[in-house]
Amino acid sequence: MNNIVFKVTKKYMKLNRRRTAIAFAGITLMVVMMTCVFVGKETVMKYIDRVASLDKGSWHMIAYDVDAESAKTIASRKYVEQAGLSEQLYCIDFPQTGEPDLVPFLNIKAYSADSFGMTNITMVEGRYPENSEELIISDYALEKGADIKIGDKISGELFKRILVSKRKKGGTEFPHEGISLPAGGIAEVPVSFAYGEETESFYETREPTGVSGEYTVVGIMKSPSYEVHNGGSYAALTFLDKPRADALNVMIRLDTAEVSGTQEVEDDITSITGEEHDFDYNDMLLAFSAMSGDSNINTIVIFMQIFFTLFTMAASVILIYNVFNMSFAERSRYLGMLSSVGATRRQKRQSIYFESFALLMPALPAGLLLGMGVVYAATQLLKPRFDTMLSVDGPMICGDVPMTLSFGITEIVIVLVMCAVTVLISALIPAIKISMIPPVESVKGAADNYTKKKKRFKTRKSLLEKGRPELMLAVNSTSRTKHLTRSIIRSIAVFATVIMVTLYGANSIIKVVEAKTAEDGWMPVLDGYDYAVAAELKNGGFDYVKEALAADRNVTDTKEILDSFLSVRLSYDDISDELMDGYAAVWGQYDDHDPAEYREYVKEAFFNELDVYLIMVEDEEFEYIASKGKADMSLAKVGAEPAALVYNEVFLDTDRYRDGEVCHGYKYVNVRDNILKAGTGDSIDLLSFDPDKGENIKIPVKIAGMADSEAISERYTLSPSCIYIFVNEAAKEKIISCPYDQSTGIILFADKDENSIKQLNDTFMGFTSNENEAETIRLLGKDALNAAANIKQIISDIIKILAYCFTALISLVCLLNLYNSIRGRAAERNKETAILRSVGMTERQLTKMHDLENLMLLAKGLLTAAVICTALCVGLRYVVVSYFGNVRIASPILLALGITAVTAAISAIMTRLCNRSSREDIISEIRRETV
Amino acid sequence: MEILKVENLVKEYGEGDTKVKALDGVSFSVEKGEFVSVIGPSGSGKSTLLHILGGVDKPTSGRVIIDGTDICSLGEDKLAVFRRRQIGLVYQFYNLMPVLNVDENIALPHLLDGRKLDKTRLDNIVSHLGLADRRENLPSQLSGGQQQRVSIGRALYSRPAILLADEPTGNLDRKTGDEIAALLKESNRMQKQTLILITHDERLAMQADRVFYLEDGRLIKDETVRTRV
Repeated sequence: MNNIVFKVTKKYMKLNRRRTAIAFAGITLMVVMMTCVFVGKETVMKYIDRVASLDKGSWHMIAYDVDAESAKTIASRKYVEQAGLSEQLYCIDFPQTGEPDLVPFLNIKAYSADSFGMTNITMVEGRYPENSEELIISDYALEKGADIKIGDKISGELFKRILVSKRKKGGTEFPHEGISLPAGGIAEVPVSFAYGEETESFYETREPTGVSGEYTVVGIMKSPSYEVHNGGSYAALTFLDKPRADALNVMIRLDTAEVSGTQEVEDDITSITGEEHDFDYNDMLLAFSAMSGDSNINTIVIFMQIFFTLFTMAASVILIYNVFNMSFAERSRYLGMLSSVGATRRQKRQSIYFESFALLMPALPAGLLLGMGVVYAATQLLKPRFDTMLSVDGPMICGDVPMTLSFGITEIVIVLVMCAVTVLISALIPAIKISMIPPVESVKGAADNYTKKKKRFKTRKSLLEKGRPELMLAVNSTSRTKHLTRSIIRSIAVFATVIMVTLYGANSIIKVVEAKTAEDGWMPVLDGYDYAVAAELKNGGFDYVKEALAADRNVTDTKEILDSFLSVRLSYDDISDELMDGYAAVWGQYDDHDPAEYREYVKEAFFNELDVYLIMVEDEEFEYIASKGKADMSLAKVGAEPAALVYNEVFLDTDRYRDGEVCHGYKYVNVRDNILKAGTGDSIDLLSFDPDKGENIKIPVKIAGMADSEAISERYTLSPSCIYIFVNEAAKEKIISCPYDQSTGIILFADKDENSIKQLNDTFMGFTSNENEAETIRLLGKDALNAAANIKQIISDIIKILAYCFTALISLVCLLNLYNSIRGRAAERNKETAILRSVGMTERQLTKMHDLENLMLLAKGLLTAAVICTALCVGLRYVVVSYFGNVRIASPILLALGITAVTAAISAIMTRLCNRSSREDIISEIRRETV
Repeated sequence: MEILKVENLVKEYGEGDTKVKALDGVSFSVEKGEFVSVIGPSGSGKSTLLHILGGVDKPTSGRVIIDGTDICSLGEDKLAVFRRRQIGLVYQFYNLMPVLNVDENIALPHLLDGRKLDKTRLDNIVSHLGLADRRENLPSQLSGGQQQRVSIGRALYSRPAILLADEPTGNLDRKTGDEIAALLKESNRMQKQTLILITHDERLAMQADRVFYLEDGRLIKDETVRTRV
């Protein structure tokens, strides 16, 4: 190394080992965090991608009925990572079937080689077909008794299943989902349509495709995801070696870096073929590539990545900047010396850049490796949690899918560039500042004060005259050594701000996801219970469940809850003006509605009646939740007259309350308190329609009280987009005796015996499938009730995990920053401390002085944090509400208090630790010059 | 009246082959109001002696008795209290608190003792030291001579039993050095302030009542100066 400036800088770095080590640790941590953000995201997303692929396969979308030429063009597009072709060959008779009356056909599709891989076709026996005369059949057919084995032949004409209308006149009939059958017309039958379903208005026939086939069975495959059980045909696949010129299906796996969404692909395909097509989507997979049809999810994923990256950069910039700033005085001294012998400003700046990049170079590989280690460890640690989340809904069993590190050159390059930019930004200001210091000031050691030579520092007379030396010293040292105190104030502010905003941001994102995923309705909290079983109240299903539970000796405790399932209504006349105005305001957002006409509108359109969720609970439960709310307990006690507890909060928005074709912008209204005109002690009529009499039956109930979410949340989770009324047993008896009541029941129960649960489940399934097919009995475990059950909820859980991991990691950087600042200041003041001791300051006085200093710096830091946090949180809230709308984010006062307490405690501990008296003699400390 | 008594003071640094004796059995006593200067070549142990006398360094063995108190037997806190009440230290490099202005630096030991500020005394000292127009300046805004004046002011403010000055003019130009020396002598003469001064400057040393010659850590001569210059 010939550059003398670099040589001196290197020497300086060696001499200042502790500070160099902290700067290195800070930069390494930054690289670790960047690696975690980018490699971590890629690893998790790839894992979820693999898991999601287990369900339908690795394709993102399918374009139907594309001609062969266009299919080639589509496959060559840049956004296509992999393309496969398939062709629907329709049905063939399957004489070997085990269910000739229900499933007499095979539904044959032809797949190209790529398509087999992209759809996860797994062989149970045999091999994939290699030409169009070979066939593989779903093992579901064998499960259902088909007499088929490898080597058997299947031949016949291929045909479409067709429904023919018997009706001569009338409109279109919809006999099944996806079938529109005009009077006297025909319609193609989807594979899900059961065979042999003939009614007075239609019958099924077949339409030959003109193709005959003779196939040899070469394998048995696992039932593919597209197979519909009980749909009239079993799934079978052959090889697509002679694609037809038209009506091909193109299965596409997208290169997610090349395309922003499926709409873009749809538009391109339409422009290639010149006609509209049907498309199918692998929603789960698309959702995790931030390309789902739900733009909210896409935005959230991108928002999170930007949020995490920016915060990582901000925290790192402050840490590295602080490290350079802390050593400003010493650095200016040696650079001043160099300057006095001819070093230019540029050379002085270069010294700072050299140091930054000398630290960055080893930090990059170290941070990358460490980051990957952290990602690997975290993913292994979190894998069971991910598995649970992803398996909740049943179709994906992801325990066997390994969670391996996934990253490409792109991620690495992004990490490297981001880290280099961060370090450059961090070093920029100290470099400029140091180059501006005249050499003479540097040499004299007055660099820090050279700009304020003429400034006077007023004596703090009150402190001086009252004889409070510790306070005087603390006040003066915190206000007169800005370069040392600022870094601590900055560190405290950054520590508090980063944790606050990260948690607030994460909470906001979670709220966004929760708000977007929340379904209307309610869920009981399974506190103390293990399972819930739901059944319809009518037709004996509910009684059957009760008997089964009563007969099971392992069931130790039960709680019965009934739900009127929207069969009970309230008159709009009972609704408060405030809530009516809310409904009107949201309704007014659609089409050309005038909110002033809303009351007239509901009278005509809804018979002036509003659906409500009526939750009927046992008296003990009613009394308990009433006691948590502001209720009149004389009305709510066990055995009381029909009484109701009104959930006194309704949240209306244009996402949930759709009433019209065109919505003119998002709007939400939150009504708390006074949602009804009536109050506690008043009576209201619940309305249940009696179709025989053609009028409502009025069920009067007394309002025992109003309850807010705090009172309810211990026992129930409610989505407050509807009105919820809890009623006691006396009211329940009246409601369920109404002729049109459609209540369903849920019984919560405790049962620790797994075998007993399996038996119960079999019992319920037996009842459902064999005797009373109309009945639905669902046994739900804790996971199904409490955890995520759909894509969005899975994302919500993942966001929580990622946000908390990120907060933990970024807190570490901030903690290091705070330690470095406090330690740096203590080190810089060793000599001062020794002077104070030499003029007679005792240990107790020193400690008191340090504590007072800490309090002042803490106050300044927290005040700064409060200002920044408020601005950032308000800004964040604005962004979140602007983008996502219906998010109610609570004021983070408790969070702020918690963070204040944590910051204060950490700051106090670090101050005590870093300012522990040196055991050296006073004089040695006075003599020692810091480098 | 004997204000300081030093008995067989030994100070060793290092261990084994690298052991160095900075002080080797030094004994002497000083009367109240006396002005003693200590001279000797570099490395003779002058500063070590002064630091031990000032209670900021500990001897390997021996005793230092100031105004009847053996400071070597005091614990850290008691020694700190003793220092702020009984000892005034003036260093070659001033050692002022960079965050305190002139007034605050001067009053510091007094305030540390929990006593209320004697404003008249502070005013007198500040004006006497010629710092009246610099009272609200930080040390970094003062010249070397001014900083040393502040240092002397700090040492004198609490009326210590003994004033120790470690080459107080060593870092100053001759004219300023003379001014500082004059200030110290004046405090000795006018207020009967016991003063022990370490210096390389023989001219200044000869202005003392007694001169101690130190060589290789041993007191080789204790000379009474007859005529003050």
